[in-house]
Amino acid sequence: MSDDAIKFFKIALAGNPNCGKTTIFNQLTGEKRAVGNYSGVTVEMVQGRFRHENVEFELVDLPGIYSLTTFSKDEVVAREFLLSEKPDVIVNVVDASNLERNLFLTLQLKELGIPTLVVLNMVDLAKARGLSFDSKSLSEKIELPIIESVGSTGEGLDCFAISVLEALKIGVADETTGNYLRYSGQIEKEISLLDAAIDAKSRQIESDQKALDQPLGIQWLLTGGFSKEKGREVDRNYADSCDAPPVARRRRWLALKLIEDDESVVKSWNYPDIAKLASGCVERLSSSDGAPLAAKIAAERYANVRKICHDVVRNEKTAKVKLSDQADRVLTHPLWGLLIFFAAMYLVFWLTFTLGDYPVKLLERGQEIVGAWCNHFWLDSPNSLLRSLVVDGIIAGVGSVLVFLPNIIILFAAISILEECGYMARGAFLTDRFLTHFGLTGKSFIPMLVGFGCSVPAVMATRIIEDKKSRLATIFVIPLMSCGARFPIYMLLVPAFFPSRWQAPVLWGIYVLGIAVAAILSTIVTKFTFKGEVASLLIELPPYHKPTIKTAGAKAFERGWQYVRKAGTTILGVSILFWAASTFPTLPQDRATVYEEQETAILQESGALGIDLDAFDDVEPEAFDDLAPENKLSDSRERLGEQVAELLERRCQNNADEAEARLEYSFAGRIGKAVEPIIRYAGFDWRIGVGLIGAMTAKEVFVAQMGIVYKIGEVDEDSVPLQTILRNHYSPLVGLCVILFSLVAAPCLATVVVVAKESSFKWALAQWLTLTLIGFFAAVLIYQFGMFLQLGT
Amino acid sequence: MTLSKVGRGKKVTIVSLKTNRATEERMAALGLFPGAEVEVVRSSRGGEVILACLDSRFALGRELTRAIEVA
Repeated sequence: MSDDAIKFFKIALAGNPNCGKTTIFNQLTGEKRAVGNYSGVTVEMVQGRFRHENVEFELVDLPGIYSLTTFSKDEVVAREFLLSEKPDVIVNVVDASNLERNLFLTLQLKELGIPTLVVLNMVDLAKARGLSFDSKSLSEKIELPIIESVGSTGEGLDCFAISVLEALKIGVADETTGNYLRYSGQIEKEISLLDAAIDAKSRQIESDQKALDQPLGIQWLLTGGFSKEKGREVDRNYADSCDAPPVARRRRWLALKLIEDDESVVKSWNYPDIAKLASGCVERLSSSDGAPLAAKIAAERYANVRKICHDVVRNEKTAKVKLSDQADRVLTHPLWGLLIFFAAMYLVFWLTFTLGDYPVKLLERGQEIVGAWCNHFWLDSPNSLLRSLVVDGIIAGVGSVLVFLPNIIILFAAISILEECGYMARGAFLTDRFLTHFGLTGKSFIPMLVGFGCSVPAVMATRIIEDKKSRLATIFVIPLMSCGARFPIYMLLVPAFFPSRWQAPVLWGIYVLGIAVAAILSTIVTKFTFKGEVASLLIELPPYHKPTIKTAGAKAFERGWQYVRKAGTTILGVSILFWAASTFPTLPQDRATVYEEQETAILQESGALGIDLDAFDDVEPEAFDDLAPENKLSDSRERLGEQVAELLERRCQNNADEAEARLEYSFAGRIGKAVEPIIRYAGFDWRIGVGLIGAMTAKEVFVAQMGIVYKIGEVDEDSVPLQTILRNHYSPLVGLCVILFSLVAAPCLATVVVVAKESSFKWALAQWLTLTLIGFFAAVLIYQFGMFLQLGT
Repeated sequence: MTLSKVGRGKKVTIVSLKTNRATEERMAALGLFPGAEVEVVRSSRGGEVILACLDSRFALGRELTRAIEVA
């Protein structure tokens, strides 16, 4: 390899939540990325790249973790990455103002045996709090290279690349010297016993040439080595020194994990003889007292860390640290804290819907303009399938989702400001008392709040809940938080069926009802689906700090972009699919001819009057007064106006009849007809059925579908003609039932997919069925009861 | 005495935990293991507690504080 060839290294950024990892990531890669001051903001791992001379670094931002156990999804994700993705270097970001707790993770990372660089971050904050440390002596004690930095300004990061390369060199060399943390005598004895057994085993495997059959992770740990996979050019010097498998430390790590009874290591462990030996070790060690071994080992690690910190940290606490505690006196107060909290939540929603309304209106106008502009390309053939696909399918479908982008961005900006300043964790503490009554925890609160924006990021946000039971329960009820996509349904139906003074309370009631159903359902789900208690709240309250508009904006933008991507992929696909379902099969020629003949007849009549009907598409009736006086017919202008109006109405009716016939004949219409005998009990006819089936893909599709059914052309929720038609066709009772059904039943396709991904397919299916059945039977009950009271007229 | 009954401003030492293994390991990772010294920053009648430990603040739900024996 020549000297100027590009070298490539993979770096994993690891650290506690709130240690400033993501800020450093942004500083290094330049990618504007969200930084949250709340445990587990990083739900997806984000990658970025940067270059230093002829070395290319790929940076992966792991979720914030406290430890390398497997009790939270974030920890599993981070550990799996470190074990199976083979990063060349771990960059461990450490919050200098909270050294003890952060070094606890550092020592565990060190035990993995991957070259590690420690970045002592937020040193400015630590100094402001009266802490001073000797980082040189710290580096000697933990036997890892250290650089100091201030992530927010980028101070100290200019030597980052060189330090990483240095750490790689040291780490690789260190691999063979084998300096690592020692535990107390008895534990150490058992470790070396297992270590020797694993060593013997790995030698045997090596000679058997079977190593490749072993499960991922274990295989890597046993065979060791930095990746030399195809297509990756690892610096030869480092690679060479890795040729002798540096398995010693990883063997030790495995032995330690077996003694800790680590779930995932034990599960993937398929050497029964060593497993038996390990359980013997565990028995001997735990006989002395009841505490689990892992906690005991953790306590030893902490004791080690404390000893290290005692020597290198000087603590002269200033008054500054008290400020956050003082704020908490009010903000976590059982009464004042709660009042402030609800005021804050009210503000968030007010901003989302009141402020967001203006840009939404603008976007809707834009959507209309784009639709009309696209229509221009098919002026000659308005019945072209391609036109229909582009305008009715893609622009109407994707557009109706995109118009809610401002709401989504505002809601997420508000949430990320609250997250970043540290208030969200307090919210979790304040709401925990109520939520535990319903089988949830305070940590369920944030995902549920996000759910009012969109269920998809909300379900992903549940990763912060370590306890599996309350996580699943939270996921289960998230669709009951009325998301932004259901808003247009309410905005179409509520004004259509309720007098104006009832509209606000009804809308408010819908949201409250959703929350109430969620509370009941989560209670039932946790009581009857899971065994055992739901784990209690345990959350770090990070010190308050000033949120920056830049990071909040960046996060809102990122979430918004995710939403746009969803619209561009899932919703686009679904729109096309749904368009196809409501277009094909097309009406047979003989039936289509009937409408065409009508159309021709109408056009002939208008032709006889010397009038181009198309020119009157958007014309108000009064405008007929402006008809050209030099018209060859001698009738008065009013007479002509009446004739034209009548022709227009006939044409409109004919078009509507044709559209209905087409829809009825299409797949969607047939499905609607097929379910009509069942949904009839809830007061729904086949047209509503088609709309609701459409809403299964994305809730807001309902509005567009009702528009198609009643062929009003371009429809939005403010569409007055559609509201009039609905009022003429259905009773308020039916309207209420549709709202209820939309609120509770059938979470949208994107939600189902993300739930299946985040929990299991079975759970997603159970959720879908449960919610749909509840929604349907609630609608039936209300409809039948209303009919009994004769409210249905 | 359980942690749920400790008043505000008191410094106590964790004696034992009577929860499940997952919770115990999670707490250990945060520095909350038998022998650790903690300060109660906020207590409540319900039993929810805010603790100070190693320069960090932690909020604990009532089920948890009732399962933590302190001295």
